[in-house]
Amino acid sequence: MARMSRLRSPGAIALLVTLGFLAALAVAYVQDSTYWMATLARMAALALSAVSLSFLVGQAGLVSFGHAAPVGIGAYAVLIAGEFGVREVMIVLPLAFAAAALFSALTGAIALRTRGVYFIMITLAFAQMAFYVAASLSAFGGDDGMAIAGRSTFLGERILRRDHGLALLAIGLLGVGLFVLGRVTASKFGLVLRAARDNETRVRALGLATYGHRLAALALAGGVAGLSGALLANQAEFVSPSYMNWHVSGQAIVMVALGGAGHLVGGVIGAVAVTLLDEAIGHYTEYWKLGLGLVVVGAALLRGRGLLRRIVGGQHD
Amino acid sequence: MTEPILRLENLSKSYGALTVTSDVSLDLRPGEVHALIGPNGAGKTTLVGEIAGAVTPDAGRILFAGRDVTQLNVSARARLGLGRVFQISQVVGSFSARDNVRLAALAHRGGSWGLWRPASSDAALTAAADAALDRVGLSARADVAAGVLAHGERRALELAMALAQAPKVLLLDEPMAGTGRAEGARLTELLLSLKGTLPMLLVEHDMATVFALADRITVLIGGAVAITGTPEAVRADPQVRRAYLGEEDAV
Ligand SMILES: Nc1ncnc2c1ncn2[C@@H]1O[C@H](COP(=O)(O)OP(=O)(O)OP(=O)(O)O)[C@@H](O)[C@H]1O
Ligand SMILES: [Mg+2]
Repeated sequence: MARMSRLRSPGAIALLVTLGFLAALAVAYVQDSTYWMATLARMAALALSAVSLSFLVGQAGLVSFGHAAPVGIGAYAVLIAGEFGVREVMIVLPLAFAAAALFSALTGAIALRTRGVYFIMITLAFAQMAFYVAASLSAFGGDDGMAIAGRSTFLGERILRRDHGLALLAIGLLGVGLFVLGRVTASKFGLVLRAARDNETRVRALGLATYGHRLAALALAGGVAGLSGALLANQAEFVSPSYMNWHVSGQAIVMVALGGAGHLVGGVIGAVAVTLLDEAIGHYTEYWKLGLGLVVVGAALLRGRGLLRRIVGGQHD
Repeated sequence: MTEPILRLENLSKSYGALTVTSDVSLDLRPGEVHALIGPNGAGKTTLVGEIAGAVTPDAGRILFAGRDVTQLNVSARARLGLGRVFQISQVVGSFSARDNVRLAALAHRGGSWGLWRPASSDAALTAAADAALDRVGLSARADVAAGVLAHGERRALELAMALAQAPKVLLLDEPMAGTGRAEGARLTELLLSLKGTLPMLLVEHDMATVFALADRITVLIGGAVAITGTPEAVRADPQVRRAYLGEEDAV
């Protein structure tokens, strides 16, 4: 029992995931495959976003259908800071985190007044607003988006210029993100959050207020999503409103559901699976994600609980 | 006479044409067990809900520890010291029994904003949880998920949670309902041991339990107080015998 629980500890899981990605990166590096190094960087960034969404959906019971918004805001933080000549990772990443966390907290303050399906709709609506605001930023590419001034630097060094440098940063952030969110999940704060997900009536009757905890969870997950966006912007060297497109939010939910919302690591599994599938069959058809989405929703319906219950069953007294 | 810890003044509540609470006034004195009895649908659970803050009365006031709490919400009243055992168990099904009680102890001890240290590594919190589990006889089941506990065990868990919350007043809505004979006896024993230290408002159908525990009894019929008095007075009241005890056939 003791050994099992140690293996499931946030530190062990974060370490295992980090080592797994590093091993894959080492292979790609030895093979000198820039394609796979770039793909691994993207995969780790998407996994970070999926892990933060898994924290919201699986642990806090908050099914956000607007997770692309904080991701996109993190990407725009890189773009806009770059236009002002700021490219240092140590500034850009905290900026991306803060901007995305602030957005999530402000919209969350309103969204948290609703539950269940209404929460899904309102988070989607806020993300759409962010999308249109981004599209109206003509100084930063408007509808079309624009290339970033250049990849971020680390303490002045241009180590992210090469794809393995960027992949290392993405993998490192994924490991840290898994560890931190895992710790928070197991903490007293996390205990209250998870209890409120299952039985809000009981939590209230104990005298615990759930609003503040949920708002903090939204802000934290939003900030982590912002980091993911900053990584994606660096990888693509291009930022556009499409980062915040609603089907990006939908894809994040599919990743979480596919990997299993019960544990944060499910976000990693889902992100890896979706990215690999995309690489394998995305060239043949663009519609495969629709099929995948239907399969995931179908599976949720058949199981009759889990995600679906979380979506429709959030209304306690 | 000592000041009551809880006082209801002229509470009323209707759902449409149905009056569920009708001008109810009653009080709970320090250390007292005050039983609330009445036939099914008399409005007992609704009244407990009004006291806890989950149901808003149409009229009347609720005073708790000398303070008007009528406008406060559920969590604010709970923080003031109102503990509630629900008629239909409200536990966190996916949590172990121990984590459920940890949650309750956390509510009482504070620290729910602790973001970093694992909840399970707080020795004092765990000790408080285990002590409460022990009191209700659930120690052996501490690691079992609350959702798969037997019905009676879940009732005991509810009580353990309410105790860990260290309330000033305990609202018990049929705590023994559906428990086995042995469990019921153990819970009655536990409530007896708390009697005198913790004031309780006890809703209970089982008359043997009521007469074993209660200092005073209020009979609610059709949402209105039919009589409040000592067990002897209530037992002797002809109206009560006719309307309630007679049909229960328990005394
Ligand atoms: N939210 C509600 N809306 C409409 N009617 C309600 C509501 N809650 C309770 N009632 C009605 O109010 C009446 C009193 O219900 P309550 O649950 O308070 O009774 P009770 O005395 O606790 O009964 P029991 O002994 O069966 O637990 C019942 O007729 C019930 O149907
Ligand atoms: Mg009832």
